[in-house]
Amino acid sequence: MAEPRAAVEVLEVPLNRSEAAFPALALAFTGAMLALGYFHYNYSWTSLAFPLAAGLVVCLLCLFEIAAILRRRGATAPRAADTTPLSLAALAWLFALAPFLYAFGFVFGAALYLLVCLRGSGFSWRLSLGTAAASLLVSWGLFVSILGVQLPIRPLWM
Amino acid sequence: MLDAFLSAAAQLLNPVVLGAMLLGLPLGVVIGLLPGLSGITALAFLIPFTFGMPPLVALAFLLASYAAVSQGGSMTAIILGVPGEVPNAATVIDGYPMTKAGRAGEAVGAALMASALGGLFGCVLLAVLLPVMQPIVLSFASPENFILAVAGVAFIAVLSSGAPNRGLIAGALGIFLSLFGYAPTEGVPRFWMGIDYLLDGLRLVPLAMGLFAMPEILALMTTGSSIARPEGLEPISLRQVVKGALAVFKYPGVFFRSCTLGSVIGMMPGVGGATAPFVAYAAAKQTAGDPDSFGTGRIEGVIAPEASSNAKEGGALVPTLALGIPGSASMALLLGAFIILGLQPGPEFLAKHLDLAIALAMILAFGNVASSVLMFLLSKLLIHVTRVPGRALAPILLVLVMIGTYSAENNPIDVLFVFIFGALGVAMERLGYNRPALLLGFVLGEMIERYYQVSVSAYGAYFLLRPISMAIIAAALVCLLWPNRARLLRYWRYR
Repeated sequence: MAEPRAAVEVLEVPLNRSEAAFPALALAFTGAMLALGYFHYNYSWTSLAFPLAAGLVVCLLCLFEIAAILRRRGATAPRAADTTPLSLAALAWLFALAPFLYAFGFVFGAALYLLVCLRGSGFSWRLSLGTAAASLLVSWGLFVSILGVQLPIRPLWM
Repeated sequence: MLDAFLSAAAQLLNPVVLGAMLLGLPLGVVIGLLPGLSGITALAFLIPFTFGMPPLVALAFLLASYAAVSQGGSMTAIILGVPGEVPNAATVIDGYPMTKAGRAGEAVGAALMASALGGLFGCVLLAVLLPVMQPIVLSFASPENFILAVAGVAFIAVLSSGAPNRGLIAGALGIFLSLFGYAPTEGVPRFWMGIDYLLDGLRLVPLAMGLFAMPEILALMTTGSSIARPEGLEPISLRQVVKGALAVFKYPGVFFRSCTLGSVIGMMPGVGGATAPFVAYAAAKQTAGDPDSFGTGRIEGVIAPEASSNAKEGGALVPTLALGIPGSASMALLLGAFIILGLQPGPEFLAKHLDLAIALAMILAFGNVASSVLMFLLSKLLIHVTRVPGRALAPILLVLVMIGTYSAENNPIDVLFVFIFGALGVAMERLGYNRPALLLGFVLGEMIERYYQVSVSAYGAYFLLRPISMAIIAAALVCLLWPNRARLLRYWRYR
């Protein structure tokens, strides 16, 4: 038996200044929520005190992170190295489930999505239909009949 | 005491009690394998079946299934990167990279052995501590629980791979996100922006699924290849599983430390069992010689959360039985089951039914061991899933995740939020932000606020100056800062 391959992950990658976008967005989101609470909703001190404290911590940490990124020229940054480039086709397949569930309900929509997705990926009719049937069995048989989960059977728009 | 042990053992050997346990185990495993469905779901689903059963039979049925749920969740965490329930997210960090490297058998073996032995450890501790536990548990008031919860988040955050500040951002953001919806003290809806769904705040299951499952599903869809890479493929064998199981004995320090942490955290009423696996993982990483290699498939990263996760269940039963105060959300439901069955846990319960309390500890221990054996039998079948091409597996997982998420609250908007949190999860994964820290912050955020409010009301602004509080703060700061002093400086200076 071959020795298992040692898992190696490089955690240092060249720094990209655009990485400051994430803490900037987190800062903007938290700041906007706190401003909304204070100026628009006029929350009492009791209601706002703890979110304010937590939000300020987020803001300060984000500012620190942005400053740290901007002052690092030509350095490396910690990042998960084992990432593959995003594929638009994969994203499209991922988000395609939502309209299927909306249009056909959870039980039939999920089965139909699997049928279309697997056929679209080049799998045989037999495998695609079998998987769709198994999906029906699990969603209807296990979730609805046995576990009593009220999965929407009718389309959500109806 | 010996009489109580013998009486408990005799009650367990009753064929009806054994039958109830054997019936509960597979039900728990099935629920555990479904993403999004947790031990609470298992208890909620199974409690109605216990009406009319004798108390011990009913509790045997419930506890055996409850013990098995965690095992099922660990399997999906290791093999598919999809945590069955929130505490299993800690197992994903190293378990899933092991699967990707073709070492799924080892990870499964280590998880099963650590879970079984961790469960046994917790139950033995439960049986030993039950009679003497009351004063210790009662010495922890709201300020101490507040500090423990904050320290739990900080531990995970600071120990993220090489980026303490990014970990802290994630943890603090998790706490902030948990504060959406009705405020616990005044009942005022916060940050709801006119959206009815947000009145009850953001939900845990969509967040967990979005952060952990969606990035893996997207990666499978993008590459189209199987989870286990072809170069790492190796037929899963008994030898591989045994190698993983024996690894638990190679790291006794990691195992015993994780079990102790799990049991102690489980005992703290209201601290929340979800913290235990993360804290144990952080402790294993902190004490390792090369902490930066954690997250790339270290077996200690599987042993620590699994051992503590099961040990905490025994610990969580301590305050539930001894004080009538549930140690976790699941234990709150179990407390309800006790009352339905005509039993009232608390100090008097121990005086009157010590044999029953010890029998429950034995049932939990049996459930942990038996569910490990059951999962071992299923593991060969499950590991074949890692060889299914990604473009076939990803849509199936996506459908399961969506149905599981919907099932948690029967709310279709939860499904929409899986996509939203999925985008957050993908961004965090790619930029090296600590996803477990965000999840843990979210889990504990509401509790942290509640303890903060109670502490301020009861003890004033100086609640942190209580002696026990100060001792915990000092211990947490030393544990956090001392081992990381070089790393913190390096981070700012850029290594």
